[in-house]
Amino acid sequence: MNNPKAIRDRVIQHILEASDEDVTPDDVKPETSLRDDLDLSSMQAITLMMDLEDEFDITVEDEELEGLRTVGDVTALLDTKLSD
Amino acid sequence: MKRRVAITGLGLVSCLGHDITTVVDALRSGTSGIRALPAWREQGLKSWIAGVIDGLEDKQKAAQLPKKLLPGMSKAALYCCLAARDAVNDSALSEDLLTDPQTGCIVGSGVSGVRSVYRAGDLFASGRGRRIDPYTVLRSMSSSASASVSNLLGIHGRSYSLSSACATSAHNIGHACELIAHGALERAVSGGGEDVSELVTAAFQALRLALSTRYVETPTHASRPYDAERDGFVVSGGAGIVMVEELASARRRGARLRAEILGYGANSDGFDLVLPQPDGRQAATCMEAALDDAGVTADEIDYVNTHGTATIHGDLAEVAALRRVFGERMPPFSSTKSMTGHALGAAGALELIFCVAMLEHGFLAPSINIDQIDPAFEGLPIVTESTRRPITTILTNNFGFGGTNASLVLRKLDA
Repeated sequence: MNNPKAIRDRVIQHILEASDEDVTPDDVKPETSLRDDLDLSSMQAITLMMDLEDEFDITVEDEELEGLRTVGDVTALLDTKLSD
Repeated sequence: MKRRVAITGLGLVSCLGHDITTVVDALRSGTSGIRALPAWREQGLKSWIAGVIDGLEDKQKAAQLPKKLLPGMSKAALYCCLAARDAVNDSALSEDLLTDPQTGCIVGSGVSGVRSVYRAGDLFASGRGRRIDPYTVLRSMSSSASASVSNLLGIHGRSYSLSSACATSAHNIGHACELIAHGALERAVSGGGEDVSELVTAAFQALRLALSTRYVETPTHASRPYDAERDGFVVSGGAGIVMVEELASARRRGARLRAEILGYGANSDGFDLVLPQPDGRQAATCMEAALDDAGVTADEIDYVNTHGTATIHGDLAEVAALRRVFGERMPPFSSTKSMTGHALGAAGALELIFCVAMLEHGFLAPSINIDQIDPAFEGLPIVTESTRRPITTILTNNFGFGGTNASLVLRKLDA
């Protein structure tokens, strides 16, 4: 589960479940903005990270949440956490 | 000189139904919305009956509530959002006017997000505070209802919630009317909602004697204002939302003017946190303030929709207040809570909507379940059967814990 593609797929699945936008997995790129492209609110971004914390058994510190703007930011953070 | 205020849209979620037509049928036929909740009995509640809110799936689907708003809504806020969608549609207000800075959102609830607080408290107490749902604040803040409705509708005018226990939605609407009457707003989405919660019911149970417990086996007979054997109120909930507008501008845009809110009175007993003032002095003053604001005399009131919760002391105090206001010339009155139970923070708005329905359809809704009138109310013109009668002017009362009072006067506009 800890390979980058599997992580990316899980992140995308969580995002699609949360987003009101009509997007498909193919629409989601690393540079896709959580807010501007997917219309996720700050609350949804926090909930997304909590869900990922549960799923991957990791802990994301509050200050680490601040830098998360894009899908790539989320997957990169997960990669780092899981490789620690 | 104050400006006139009209109701141009209605929306509701209630145990009698979630659309006006269904609710009017229930009110006309004296149908109770109360039913048993065996699960509550298992949880140790003595009053395991309620005006249950269910069957909302279609309404929620039609309302198209955004995923990014839904998790932040308390149940009360959700009900308010559903009712607000209907009220806006009913008013046929344009998107431009809805999002105009002169359109406000004055919507509240008596309590908010109790379940959320409970879950958060449970996690916190067990050392798992880090897992508290980030939406807890949004669901539990007192302004959850106005926050949710204003974000759903894209409101840009003032948006906040007044909370005054069982008078909440009456105060919200009264306040919205004052804002419009005095020029601070042109229109507002206004009202309130309440969840039907076992936790809130348990809290009321702790007050002893507040809730009806003797009729749990016959739930439709449990809410019995003015009956000699009444034993307390039945918990209910839902939401009532109205679109209120400055009358002249509403007329100019061709809106359907469903009724005019002529007057609003609000004051406090300053007597007891829970019990009403037995002689009804302050409640009477509240009604008189509403009549004065409306510019009508007591003789012009065709019908009173009472707060009438079916508590021993509450019914006595309100009727004492009515006697002070109306003397020997008491107008017909009834409590629609005999059918709905007590919708707490939603009660005032729901009952205002019931009153609009009575004005439009020319009938008086009954107080059901009076098998034996309390001798204290003998000879009074309590409406016990659905009655066809053209009416033009109605007074509706709501009172809340803390000794807070609200009265509204509304009138049919083509009268």
